[in-house]
Amino acid sequence: MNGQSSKPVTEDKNIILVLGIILFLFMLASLVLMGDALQNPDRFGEYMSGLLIFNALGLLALIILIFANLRSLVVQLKQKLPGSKMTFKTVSMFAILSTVPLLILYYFSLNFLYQGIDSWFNPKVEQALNDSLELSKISLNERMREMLKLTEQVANDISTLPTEMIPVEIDELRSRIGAEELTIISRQGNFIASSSNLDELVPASPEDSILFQLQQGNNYVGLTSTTQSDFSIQTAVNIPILSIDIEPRILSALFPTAERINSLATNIQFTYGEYQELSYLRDQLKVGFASILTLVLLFSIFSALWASFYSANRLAAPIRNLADGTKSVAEGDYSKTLPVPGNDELGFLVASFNDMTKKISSARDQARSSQIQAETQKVYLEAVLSRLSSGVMVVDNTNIVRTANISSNQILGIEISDMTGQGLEDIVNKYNYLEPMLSTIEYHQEKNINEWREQVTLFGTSGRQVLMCSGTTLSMPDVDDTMSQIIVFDDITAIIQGQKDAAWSEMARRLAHEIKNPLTPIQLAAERLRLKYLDNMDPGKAEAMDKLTNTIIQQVETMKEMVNTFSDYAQTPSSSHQMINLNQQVQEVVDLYNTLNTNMTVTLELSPNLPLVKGDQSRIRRVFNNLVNNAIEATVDTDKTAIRIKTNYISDHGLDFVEIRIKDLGTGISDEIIDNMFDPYVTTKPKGTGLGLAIVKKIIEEHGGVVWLENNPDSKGACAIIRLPAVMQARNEDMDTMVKGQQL
Amino acid sequence: MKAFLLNFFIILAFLSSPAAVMAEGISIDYVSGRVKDGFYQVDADIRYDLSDSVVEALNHGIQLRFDITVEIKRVRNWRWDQTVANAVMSFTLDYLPLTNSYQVINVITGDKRQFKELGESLSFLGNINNFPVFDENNLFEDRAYNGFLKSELRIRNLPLPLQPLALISPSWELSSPWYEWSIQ
Repeated sequence: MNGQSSKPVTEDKNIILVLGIILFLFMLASLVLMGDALQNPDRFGEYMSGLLIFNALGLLALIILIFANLRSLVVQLKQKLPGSKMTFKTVSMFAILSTVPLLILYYFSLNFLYQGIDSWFNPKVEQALNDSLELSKISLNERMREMLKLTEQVANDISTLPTEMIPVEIDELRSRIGAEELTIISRQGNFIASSSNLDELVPASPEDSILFQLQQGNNYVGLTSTTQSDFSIQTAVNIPILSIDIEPRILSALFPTAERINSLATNIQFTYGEYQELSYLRDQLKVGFASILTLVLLFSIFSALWASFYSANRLAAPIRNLADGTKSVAEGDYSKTLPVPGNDELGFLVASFNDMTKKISSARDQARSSQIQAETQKVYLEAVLSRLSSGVMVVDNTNIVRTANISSNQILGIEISDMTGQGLEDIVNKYNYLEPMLSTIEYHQEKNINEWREQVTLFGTSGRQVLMCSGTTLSMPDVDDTMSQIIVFDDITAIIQGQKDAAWSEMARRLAHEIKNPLTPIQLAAERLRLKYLDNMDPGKAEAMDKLTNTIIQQVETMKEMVNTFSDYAQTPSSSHQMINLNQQVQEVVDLYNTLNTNMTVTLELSPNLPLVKGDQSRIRRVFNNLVNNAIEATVDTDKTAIRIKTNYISDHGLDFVEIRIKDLGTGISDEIIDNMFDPYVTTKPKGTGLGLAIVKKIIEEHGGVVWLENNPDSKGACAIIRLPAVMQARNEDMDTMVKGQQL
Repeated sequence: MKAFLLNFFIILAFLSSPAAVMAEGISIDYVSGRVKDGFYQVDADIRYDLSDSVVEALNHGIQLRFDITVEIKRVRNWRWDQTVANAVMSFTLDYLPLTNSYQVINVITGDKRQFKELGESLSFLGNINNFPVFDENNLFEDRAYNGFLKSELRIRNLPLPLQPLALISPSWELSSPWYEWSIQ
């Protein structure tokens, strides 16, 4: 969620707030009107029911709002959403703080209200009113009794009158007793005669209950109202029956009361009625006021509760947003911008958070850009390194290989680029022939030499290998601020060998050329001396002449042989390599020497599963000839010539080679010269040219092999050891196919 | 709190008044109309059975006002019936403590009648004779009319503190259903 999606939520909250405030104001106005209507019904009394219904609906709306908020809070608490506990605490605190004082106020207000209403009704006032009413009744009863007597007297008078005289006399009778109306009716209610000074067109007839009372023989007197007076005395009496011919009749009369009495009685009745009404409405008044008070209480509590929910949500919203934002940042999303709630401390906090995420995002983008740049650089460097013919290797101060390029693999013969992270010691333990290189690196590390360059010779399966290593101390701050060495190495075996061979060859070639040229004239001169002067000389001189010229001729022959040997050494290597079975070569050479010297004992230990090697067959045979010849010559002074030749297949850490050991039982080689035995002109033999072992070394190195001499540790004599790279079976088959193809 | 609970239970008690009082009320037994003296006049027999609560209020000086409403509607086939006349006759019923009687006043004419018994005053109230509703010239012979009559206690005329109770309490629900008759 970002700032854009939070905008509608804020708008919704504002709408709810506005609606809530409008509802609050309307309910408040409604309660004010209700309170006013209860005290002054004439103003808003007719709206009372509507106001009551409106308030009830308003309260219901508030209850629904509170319930919805409460439900939402419970869900938030169950889900343990951030800010929910704070909302709960705030709402609880607000609810308690607002409800408790309101309830206390309500309790006392209600008590005061009840006491106030009850105080309106003084028992003494009520008693006084009752007494007044009773007094009025007594006063009127006195008057009524008098009027009843008068009516009874008139009834007696009428009973003596003939029926036809009654309409004539009735007015006079009414006037005599001071009645307002005098009416004679039959018991069935039919009018017989009537006299009245009232405005009524029709005289009032006694009610059925009065008629029934009269029928029972009881006269009636009571109060009634007329158009002129609220209190008129109504009497009704049975007219005595003096003759059976006359039907039973009733005399009804209306007497006025004194105006003063009428006025007082009216006031007393009105006041008594008002008091009675008020007394009756006392409970209803209490209920009414208490209801409004209760409505006000509920309205206040619910409004406070809703306001507390709203305020708590508003307070918790920035914290909830902050929690969400923190979670997003923890998940790596720095794009979230929180809405700033205001200018208060929370607003400052949220704004700071936004600034922080913005800066982190910017820093992350920069870091990512740098990383991409670094990776691009790394890929570029790797591409460059992989295309370098030189091996490049980075080793830290703990001899851990950090980097190695592809050329390193080719030069060292192992996949060292896949061994990054491994220690050089571990690698050397696997591949022992790398030990000189490790020693060189460690030596320069120990000596803290920043720049070094050294030639290292390895003896691997591919034979003797001369590496030109140069090291530079490299500062690597990302790896514990340690100093590492970058080692660049080149396989200069071929270069050195080529230079060396070229030098020796050139020297041999020049030597042969310079020596060979004067040899033939010397030899011819010596032979001419013999031919021309030997026969003519004195026998004594001739003998000396013969001896000297022979010496010259023999030495010239010897020198010619030597020159030929030099020519052989200077000969360029053959390019016609083929697969060679070394066992077979050894066997042929040994057979040749066995034929020439029967006194010689050669012990052969030929490995039956010896792999083939690739090379020039004649030159390899020459190697064996030279070495076997050297071995024989080394043992020529001993009693018996004994030579031991052993062939073997050695596989060491994926490196395959064939080893041939030619051991003699001669005098051995002194330690001073054993290391230089393969250099030209180094020999222990008095008649040797000093080129035999040099030629051996040259041929072996041409074949990628290595040869060295060592004295036998357990017996006399020395041992020449040759190691030549073996061509394994799969490769053998390929080579066979190639050879056959070439032959075909 | 005690007072609050008391009010609460009082309101609850009002709301749950016994269903027996539902038998009390106003019912119309008979209505007839005729044209007389140039007016369409209505006679009606209305029975008023006041509940004890209402009688108690009356005896304590509360004035009751009854409105008798008559409506004449012209019957139409495809549309709502048209109200052609509407007349209201109002009476008040009071208790007079000094004379210990009940007084009925016709609000329109001001005529007063006092009765010793409540039943007599109610019988007087229920006996409607010659109530002129509207001019006979407004009646057309070729059209059909229906008459409707009802009588009800006017709650809004009660003292204000009593009105909420009268609005929600069934014992104060004094209103007859509409009585319908056909006018030929």
